[in-house]
Amino acid sequence: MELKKIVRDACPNFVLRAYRSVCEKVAPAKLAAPVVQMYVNDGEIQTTASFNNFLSFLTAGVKTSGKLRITLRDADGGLLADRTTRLNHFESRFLDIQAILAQCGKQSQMGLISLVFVPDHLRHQTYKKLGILASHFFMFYKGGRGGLAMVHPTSTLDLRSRPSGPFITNQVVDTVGLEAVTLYQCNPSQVPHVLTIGLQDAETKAVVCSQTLNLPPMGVRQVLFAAGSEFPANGMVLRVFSSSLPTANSKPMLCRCYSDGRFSMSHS
Amino acid sequence: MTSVVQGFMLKALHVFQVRTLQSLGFDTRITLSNKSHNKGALATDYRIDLTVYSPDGARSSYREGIAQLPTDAAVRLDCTQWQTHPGQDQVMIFHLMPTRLISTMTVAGEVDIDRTEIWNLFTAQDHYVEYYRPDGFSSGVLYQSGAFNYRKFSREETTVIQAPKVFLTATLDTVISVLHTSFEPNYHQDAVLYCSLLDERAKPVAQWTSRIKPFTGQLISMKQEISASGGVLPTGSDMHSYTLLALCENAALLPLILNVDVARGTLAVEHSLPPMYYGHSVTGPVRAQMIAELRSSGIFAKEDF
Repeated sequence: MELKKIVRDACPNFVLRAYRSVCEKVAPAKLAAPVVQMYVNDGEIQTTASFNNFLSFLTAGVKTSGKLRITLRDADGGLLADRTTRLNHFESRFLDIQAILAQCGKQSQMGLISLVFVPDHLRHQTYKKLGILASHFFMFYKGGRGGLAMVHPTSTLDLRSRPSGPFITNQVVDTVGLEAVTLYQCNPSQVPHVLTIGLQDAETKAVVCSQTLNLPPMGVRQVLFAAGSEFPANGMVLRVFSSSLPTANSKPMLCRCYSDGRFSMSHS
Repeated sequence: MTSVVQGFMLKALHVFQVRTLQSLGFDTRITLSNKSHNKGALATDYRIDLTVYSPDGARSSYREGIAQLPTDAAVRLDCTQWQTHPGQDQVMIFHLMPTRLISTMTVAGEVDIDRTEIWNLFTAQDHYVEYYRPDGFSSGVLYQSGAFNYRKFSREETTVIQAPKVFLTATLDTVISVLHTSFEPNYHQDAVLYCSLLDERAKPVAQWTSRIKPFTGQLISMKQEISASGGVLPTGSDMHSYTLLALCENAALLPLILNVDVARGTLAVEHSLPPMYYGHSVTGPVRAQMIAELRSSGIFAKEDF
């Protein structure tokens, strides 16, 4: 550091400016941490992750190709798959999680998927003007007895992201026709996290049912609250709450399960 | 440094815009939340007003005080009670009127207000719309919707959509819901939305232009557009997947993507992600450059421009 300061003080300003200009030109575009979401592959629900070459859309004048890195982990955070696929200009991929696991000879009922897209020419000046690049994707959950749910990821694998405080969703759950409410919670951090997750009366905020989860690093847990036994299915209005979130915005995913096998899902 | 906006319409300060979905067999409920207490001195209770538009957007009615929304509270409202055209879809705008500002409003309904306050109140929380059936099935989405096409709120009057969210089977369709509203007086232009549906290898499956009348919520069926382009629709349960790209250069629209299985009575609904989510600096001139490049990229049908 000292030597750096000595050199900096000794250099004329025009030399420093030229040096910084060269550094900026050769520096790669900045990539955000991989975007992450939970997959479900439990025999009832199958998951597809969809991703489009967003750089083609943001900078259509530049022909963008690159590699999409796909990482799958199991419910305890163990690495199952780490592979890449090429995307050309304006291409997209619809990633069948079950098929990827089968190709790897792995089985997993739920876990984390993370994606990051790296363009072939990461130092292209055009990409740098876009600021930090985040590889957003979407998740689709298909049920065996009908229905397709759609959820966008809400968190990333940013190692700097710290746990956040109590969370209460702004959406409400009407219990009419419900068989159960299933919550999925991930921990996209490198350290274990303990939290209490559950449903509360939307009006009085009284806790109706809850469970404490021990989430391993990069792990996922599922909690099922059955209508009738754990909450009344008489039209009560509930909200999802959590005592904390493992990282910024790593909110639980909410699945409404109906008695005829239909379901809907959303981030809470 | 303050940035006071003169003559800002109070009913445009904090809005939640929704469309009903009776044409697909769903009723509509909303839950409005008030988290303004997290914004310190800006905390306020709200009086909820409502504008309901006719299905063609030509007429509207305004209701004052349909509900009260105190700080750190929520209110759940069933939109069915305000529908004037059963079986048809209508646009409804819920106006969250800060009670501490109502007394300062001019007879024209305007206030002078700092831009920071507008932004803080609007972004303090999202609101929830859910579409439900009589048997209880419900699917919804949380989002924020500003006073689009109102220059005192935002000068951004364009829309871009990138949605790898189109899944089709014999019974499943993907439908874009596009809301087009404004708070400018005498606003009457149609929004022109250029659309392109691509397969995984970026081969266009359908290209078309949709014109969206003001104060309406149009539904655009991907199956109908593929059929109109001479494409073949899926007949079995295997999912066919596509990416929808869209560009509107003359209006800020509110798009939602719906995956609807009418035969099974199910629905999935999700908002789109603005370009800033993908590239954190895609605003202002960078966004304008993005739109200019999209226009000349050939990804949309050339004759439309």
